[in-house]
Amino acid sequence: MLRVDGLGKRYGRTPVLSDVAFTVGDGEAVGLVGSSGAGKTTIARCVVGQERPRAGSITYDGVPVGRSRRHVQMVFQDPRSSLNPRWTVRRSLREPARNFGLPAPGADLVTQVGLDPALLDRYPHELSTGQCQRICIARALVTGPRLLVLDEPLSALDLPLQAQILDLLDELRRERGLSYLFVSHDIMVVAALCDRVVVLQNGRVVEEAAATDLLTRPQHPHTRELVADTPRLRYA
Amino acid sequence: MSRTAARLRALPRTDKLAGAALVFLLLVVVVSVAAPWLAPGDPTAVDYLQAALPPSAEHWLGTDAFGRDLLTRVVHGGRASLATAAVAVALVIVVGATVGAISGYVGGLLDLAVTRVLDVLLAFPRLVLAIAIAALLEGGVVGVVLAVSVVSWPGYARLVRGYALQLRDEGYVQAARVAGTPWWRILRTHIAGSIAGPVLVLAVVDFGEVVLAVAGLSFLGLGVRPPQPEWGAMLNEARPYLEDSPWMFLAPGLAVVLVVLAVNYLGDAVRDALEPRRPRLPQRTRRRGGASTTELAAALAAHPGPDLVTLDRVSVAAGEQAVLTDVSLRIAAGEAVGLVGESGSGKSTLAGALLGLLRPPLRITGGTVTLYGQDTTGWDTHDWRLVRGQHVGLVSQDPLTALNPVLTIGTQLVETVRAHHRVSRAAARQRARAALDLVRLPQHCLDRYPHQLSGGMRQRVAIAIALINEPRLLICDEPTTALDVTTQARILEELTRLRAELGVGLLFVSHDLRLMSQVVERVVVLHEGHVVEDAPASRLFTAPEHPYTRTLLAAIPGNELEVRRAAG
Repeated sequence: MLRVDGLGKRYGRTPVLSDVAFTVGDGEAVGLVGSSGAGKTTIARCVVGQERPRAGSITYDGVPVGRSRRHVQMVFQDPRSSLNPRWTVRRSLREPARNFGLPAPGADLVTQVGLDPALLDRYPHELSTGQCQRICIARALVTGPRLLVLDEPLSALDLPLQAQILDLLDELRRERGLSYLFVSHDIMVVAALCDRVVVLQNGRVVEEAAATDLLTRPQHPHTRELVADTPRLRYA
Repeated sequence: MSRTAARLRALPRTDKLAGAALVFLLLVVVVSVAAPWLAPGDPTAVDYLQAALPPSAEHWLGTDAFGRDLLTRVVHGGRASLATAAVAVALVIVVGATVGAISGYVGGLLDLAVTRVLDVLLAFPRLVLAIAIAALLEGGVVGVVLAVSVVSWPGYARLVRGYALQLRDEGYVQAARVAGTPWWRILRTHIAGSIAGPVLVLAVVDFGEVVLAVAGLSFLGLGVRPPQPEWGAMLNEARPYLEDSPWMFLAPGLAVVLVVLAVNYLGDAVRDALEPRRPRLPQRTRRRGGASTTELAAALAAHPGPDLVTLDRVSVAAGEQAVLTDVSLRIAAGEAVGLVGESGSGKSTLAGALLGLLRPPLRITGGTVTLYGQDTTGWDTHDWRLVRGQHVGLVSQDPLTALNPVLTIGTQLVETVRAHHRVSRAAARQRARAALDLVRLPQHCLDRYPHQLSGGMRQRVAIAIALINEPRLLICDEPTTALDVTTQARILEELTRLRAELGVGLLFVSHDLRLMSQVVERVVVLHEGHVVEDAPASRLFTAPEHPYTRTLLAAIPGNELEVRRAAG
């Protein structure tokens, strides 16, 4: 399981994270919610070892995350830019496998994320944004990770597509026993996928609760604000 | 990328002169390579009986002071010149690109050190340094190659470093790092693949200069040594006979000029072909009769009718492909209409059609767009300019790209006023202040630059610019997509308030029905270029008629159950 403890980080003099602590248990989906600038993405980047925290520790099953890369993978916000435009889907999928000396992934992985294996030989510009995001999810699965860090994976997608990707993520989690750390500013989307939600404000955890409780009984004023600001259908 | 390759392949056809230059260069290369067979004579064999003969049937380019055939010498000289230049360019690319890519990608102290070294090297005058190095190595081919390489690689390194620096933050490079790809492999695959194209273009562009440098050094006696033929060395030999036997000078001189000219032209053509964004001048559409622009201005200002916009069975196509088909839409004065659909449904095309912003290959193939009672068919650039920013305001998705990064907010507001009204700068600034008040931004924002404001503030500025000339219609194209929920909620409240205060009509374009329901009174659902439903908000959200509308509603997170209930 992922354990984040006493995480601190600053850019220059500005503190961006102070004493952030939470865990993601095996098979658990945890949401990380906050406005822009709250430090969500910084935490995500620290968890995948792309940024070094100033204080605190991040371990996966007791091992510092920098050394457990194979088990912790990430899906990014903009699926289009996170695929090399000059590479076919097949080549993009082969990259992580090669890094860990694993066999090249094939048609079955593509089928698992709900795509036609014929897409393997296409280039990103020949795919829709939704298909690109499915490929990115597939790429994150190549190394057989146990935790996926999802950094706003739906923000670039239209609502109907968001719903489809949410379904896919839910399915993959059940099938593979994955855990998720789901970063988003949309509390509704997070609640749809996650068991537990951590609310951040200005680099601090202000509330942590079960997803359903958070929507119905938010405790912290900032959480209440976020819930109130979440767009909802006025007429429903 | 395949598109790039296709553009390159098409180059000789699209640019005949570049094609000719390419053929000429290939010919020169083939002739140089095949020199021993094509010009079997010994280029160094002296024959004083044949000395200084003008061009004739026997010696096409004449002979030099030693009676050597100039054609033979030019062909063999090309071999020396081009081979030396090619080796130098290859060396420069390998060293420059490797150092630049590593320095840019790895960054940190290494980058700092490399950059300083490059700065120092680039501070020397190129030619002087090259001469010094060649002289130090006592000439010869190796000396020339090294001299040219040493002065050229820092330029490449700096350029490649810039590319690598950009690529380091590219999404797919970040993804590769997270996927555990070691840095050297990222350099070898992602970075090398991305910079190969631009570097090769640069090599072509630079090849001409290197040919000149090699010839220049040899001319000075620092390169290929006589009697071995080389264009620069030949020029030097011909120098004393310039007046009596100009052909001795002309033969190698023309060879250098023609090759460099062809290389430079080809390089420019290749670079232009690879430039993904070509500058496209605004289309100057010719008016087809009707009222003059002045009359139109008066008519627009006095518009009495009830409708701001009427689209009557409008179709838009991109080439042969239909983007919008028979779309009809009406926005009454003061009405807030939502336009909903997924990406690719034609939403933005429709918004563009309302502002005359469709660019080829997009064109209106049928129907009429009426603005303020005026048929826009046949409007020219001036007519549209009258409308944009004055009668119709536009707020687009990303305020960071919509605002000019080098102008202050105040300047941009003032500019919008003065583009349409002949008022003094002071008066325009007064209006700018009022506009900031309107969107509830503090006055000090006037002197700020876009990057000094938060995303929400920037979008407020965009709204202020859209509203400063008091249009009766505001088009908002996904105005909150780039913002987080909190800011989004504030902007939506702002739009609702402004609408109530100013009575401005609104076209709200979005894929998100939740946002739409906060602001609009009527919703038009666009699906694959067709309007599939057009209904008052209260009915559309509670009793959607078209299955696609129901799909959209069902896609709202946490809303599935309610929609199922509503649909029965």
